[in-house]
Amino acid sequence: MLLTVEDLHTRFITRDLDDRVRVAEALNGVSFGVGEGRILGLVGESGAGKSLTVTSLLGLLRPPARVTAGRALFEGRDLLALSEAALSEIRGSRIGLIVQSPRSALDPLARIGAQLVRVQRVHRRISEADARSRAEAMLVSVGIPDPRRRLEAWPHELSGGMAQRVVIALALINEPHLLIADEPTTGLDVTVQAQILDLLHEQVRRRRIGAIVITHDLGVVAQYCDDVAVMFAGQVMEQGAVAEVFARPAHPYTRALLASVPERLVLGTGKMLGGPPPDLYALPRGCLYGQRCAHAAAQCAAPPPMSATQSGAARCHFAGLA
Amino acid sequence: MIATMLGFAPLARARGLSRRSPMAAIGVLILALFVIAALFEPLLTQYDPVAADTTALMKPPGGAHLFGTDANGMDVYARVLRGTRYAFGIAIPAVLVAMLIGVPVGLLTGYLGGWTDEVLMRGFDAMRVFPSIILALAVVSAAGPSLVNVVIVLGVLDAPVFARLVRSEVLALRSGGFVESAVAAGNTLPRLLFVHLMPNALAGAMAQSAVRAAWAVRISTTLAFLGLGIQPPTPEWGAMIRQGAEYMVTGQWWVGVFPGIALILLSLGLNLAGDGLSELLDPRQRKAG
Repeated sequence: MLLTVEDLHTRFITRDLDDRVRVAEALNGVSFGVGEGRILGLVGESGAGKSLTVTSLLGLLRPPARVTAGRALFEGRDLLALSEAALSEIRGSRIGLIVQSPRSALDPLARIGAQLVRVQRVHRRISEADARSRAEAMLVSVGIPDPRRRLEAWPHELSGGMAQRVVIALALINEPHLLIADEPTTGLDVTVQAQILDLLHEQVRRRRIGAIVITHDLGVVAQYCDDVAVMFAGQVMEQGAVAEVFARPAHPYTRALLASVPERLVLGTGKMLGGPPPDLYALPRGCLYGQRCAHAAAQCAAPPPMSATQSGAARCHFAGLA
Repeated sequence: MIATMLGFAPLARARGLSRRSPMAAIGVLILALFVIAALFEPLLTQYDPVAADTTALMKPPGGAHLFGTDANGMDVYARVLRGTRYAFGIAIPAVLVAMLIGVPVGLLTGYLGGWTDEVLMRGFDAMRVFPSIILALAVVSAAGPSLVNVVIVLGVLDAPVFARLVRSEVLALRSGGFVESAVAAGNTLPRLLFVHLMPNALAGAMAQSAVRAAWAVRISTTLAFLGLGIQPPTPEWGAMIRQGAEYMVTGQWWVGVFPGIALILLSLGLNLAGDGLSELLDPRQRKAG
């Protein structure tokens, strides 16, 4: 395993106007693994904690959010225990991040070439000329025509798809071992979405690196991912190989997701899934999905363990039987 | 087009500016005249601004003395020109000092928030509780009315303005977007602040710098007018207006009015140019080609 996340807990700890401490239990024991050369799809509805998982791993949380427990082993080191300086060395060189909305991810006051050069020089000694020629080669490999001219372009001159290609180039140029893409196709039109996902897929395969793709879209998972982890209320409810899990979903939530349409998730209506996510300030003691689950029984008042299924593992008392 | 080809890019740009923002162009023009006055003062008048001439006391404007002469027989036109050097000589370093202190503080407090923010910004707030002119008066009278003291006092007093401007920009930038990407790319805090955040947070402060220079000119001339800044017969505008004020009632208006007009014009020029600067410094508004 390239990255192994175990029992990750993240809390938002604030005080209200009466000075009472309020704790939002946002991540409640997230565990998953990413293998070398494999793409993991992280799915779930809005607010399930997909992006928060990634920001927790990379140490990008801002107060009042903080990691309260867990381990994340990457290349033999626990990301959650590293100092800020050590983590800075890993970020951008060993782990590349592709954020949502590519336009705002680019520095508006720096030319594309300057940004590609900068990100290399953060992590290694390299001459301006070498960095520039590597930048040009990188733009070619992410499918940007006329790269020499594009190096001189300002971010606002790029189309959305082009900007996302540049963001991918920025994430890959230091040859990371793990690539994390947080909803890489939000805000792009459908044909461009497919191109970007094809590009990501091809780059991960060609470089034999691991990748995490966060998405709402089960179609994206089915087509581009090897493994899937389904998140709900800050927990991974079910994980396994995509084909297996989609063919034999063991968790009621996965089944409900598969029966639902992705548009409903984005809109947050999710009627077929039966109601809102649980209140993070007052989580139920037992199964977090219990309130919405059609199969809830007496056992569900106790927290379900992650148990092995035919297709992988699921956090459900009835996973073996269902 | 031809101007650009011949290497007269500034000319072409000036034409562009006057078309997009006529007021800013006027401001730049006024500033240019003052800069010329400051640089080429000896070429623009035959008189020495501090040479007394007892044969020509209190001459009205016209004839050999364009703006007349003062009670020492010094040429007012030459003195107004020389005064430009003092105005710039105080305003520019004062604004630089203010930015040197204010910009890093704004970057740090805006990005880090929390206790750093509270302590530094409340300290600056405490400074701004007092009217700046009173504070400047107190400090300069305590430290002594030298040019360097005036510059430092004005710079420190104005630092909170730049800190606030930069801080508010950083607050808008720090969550998400390219700042988060920059952290995710492994940038350390100093690099993040000065390479990534500073250029993006500086536009407002840069535009404001001209306006703050106008403020520095006004405060420094006020200090001199009150007798606390530079002392006569040094040809500083505030000191000259103070001298001229004594003669206003007897009808010899020119001693005080000409440096007053110069002061107002320079203030106006700086303010107009400041508005234009904010547009020019934003590449998103810069046209291609």
